[in-house]
Amino acid sequence: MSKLQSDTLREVISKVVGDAKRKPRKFTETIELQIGLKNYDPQKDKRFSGSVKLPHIPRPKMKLCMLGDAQHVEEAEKMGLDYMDVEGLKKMNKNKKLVKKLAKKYHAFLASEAVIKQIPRLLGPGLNKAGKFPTLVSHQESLEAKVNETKAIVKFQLKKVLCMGVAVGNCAMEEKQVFQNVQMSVNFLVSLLKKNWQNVRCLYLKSTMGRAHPLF
Amino acid sequence: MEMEVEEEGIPSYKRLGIRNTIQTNFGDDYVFQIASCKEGSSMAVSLSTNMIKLYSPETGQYLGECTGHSGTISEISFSYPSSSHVLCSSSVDGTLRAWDTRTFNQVSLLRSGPSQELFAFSFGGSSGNLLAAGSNAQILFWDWRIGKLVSCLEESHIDDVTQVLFAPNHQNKLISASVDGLLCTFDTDGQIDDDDNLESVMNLGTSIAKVGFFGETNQKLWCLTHIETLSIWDWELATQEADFQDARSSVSACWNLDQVDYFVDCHYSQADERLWAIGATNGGTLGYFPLNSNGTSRFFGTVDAVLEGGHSGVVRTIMPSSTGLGGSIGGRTIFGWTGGEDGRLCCWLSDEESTETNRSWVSGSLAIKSPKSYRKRRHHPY
Repeated sequence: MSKLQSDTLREVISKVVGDAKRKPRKFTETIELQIGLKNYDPQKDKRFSGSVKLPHIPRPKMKLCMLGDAQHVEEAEKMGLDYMDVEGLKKMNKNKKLVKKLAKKYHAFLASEAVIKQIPRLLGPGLNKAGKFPTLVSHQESLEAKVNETKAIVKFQLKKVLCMGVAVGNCAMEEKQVFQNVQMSVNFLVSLLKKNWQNVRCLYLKSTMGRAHPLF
Repeated sequence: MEMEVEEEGIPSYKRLGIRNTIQTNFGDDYVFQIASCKEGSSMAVSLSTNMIKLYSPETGQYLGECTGHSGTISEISFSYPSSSHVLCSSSVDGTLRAWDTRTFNQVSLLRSGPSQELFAFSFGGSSGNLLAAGSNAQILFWDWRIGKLVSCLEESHIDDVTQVLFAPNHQNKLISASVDGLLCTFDTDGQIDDDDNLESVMNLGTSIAKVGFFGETNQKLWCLTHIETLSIWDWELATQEADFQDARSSVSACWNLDQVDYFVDCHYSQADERLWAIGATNGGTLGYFPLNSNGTSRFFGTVDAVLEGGHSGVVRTIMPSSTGLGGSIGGRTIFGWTGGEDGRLCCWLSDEESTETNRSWVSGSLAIKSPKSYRKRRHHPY
């Protein structure tokens, strides 16, 4: 076996989604891809961490805030995206409690070029500490596309143990979308391993509350 | 190693000859990094056995070893300010050590807090007395002259700090890179704290592996990430100038060999004002890919040099011999040394006309081919 079988993957996704439907929860369950590695030594092999941009948004409820200049603030308002302008940021005056509160309110931030440079000065390291330093949006790109792109990025990181999980979708998504997300993330992660599929011990797919189904 | 076969046709790149390969160990241990002292009399090699071995860069002769670290060695460098014979090393065992490379003895030891790992270090500061080190979500500062911890930044990063670098032209500025995806700039003058000394933040959005300065006044940075992307930044303005999300595919199109699997490093030539990304295959073949610019955009050009047939695994380090040493053997100059996960060190030679080549190395074409007369010798250090 040297790659993910499409049939197996389709079957597993229906099982995961089916299980979740049979026992509904009060929230939308996330679908997680779990990977176990072999022939990999965290002491001496290169770090296995980073991010993957998925074709479909796995977390639609992600709340973003635009820290914008006049033009971006206007665009954000039209789209119904939360925003804050430089005056608003200035009012925080590096107050740690206020910055922390702001960071807590959102999952991620976007910022215009003119604003992003002022953030360390206006807010201090607060957004860094929350792991939510903004992503830059230029006026050349569409704000809406950037919002969707930001929502579609998931992070992964292998620590001291040889397994890790990546959120690749949710149970409310179409199975076809989950399929594309899983396929894309698996292929990308495997391309980063020096022995590619020979470094993969196992792959599982599971929903938040469901059981893990083997994929590989 | 069927290098002769490649002679027909006009190769679009230059191949380098191997002069020498050294097996550093007989187990499965990796070579992590090679560092050379300024005069070029010795080069230090960090291994995954937590040991540092010293060799002569000209002859490949084994000189001795430094032992003491009890965890993976994260960085080695001959950057100790007051003596060129002192090698420094940092390790995930939480220590920074200095070694006398003539006696192989440990001459100094700095310890971080309990369960703190160290991933990188750099000497600098406006009075030259600071030693910064990257740790778990922290940056530590020592006054290395008195061996005292003077400060600790713990709010700017939330994950391992993989690199710290004092800027060459602004010794008070420190750049830090982390697994959390941020590059931060600090002013290290006066009392150092997160609130007042954090000057700018650049968000790469993904785990950062390696960064380096380049440009006329070292105002630019190249950044390699753990997902093998490359981006170019102006750190003084904190703006991104180029971003290659699919750098591996871009450079793979610039040679006719296998797909490039990862990047080892970047190389900058001040004289040429040229930057190369050094990509490699899992099989151990390396290529120098120039990053060209046509004013508004940057793109990769055809591979300038190929280092093939030396390694059989992932290459982890390249030590160019452009500065200081550049010794010549039998009329050919040493291009540099490489080391990798096959535990091997390889010495690469450029063309016969040593002086010519030296100039052509500086003036753009990285080095010249002819692998015909390469010999392979093995040194057994035991």
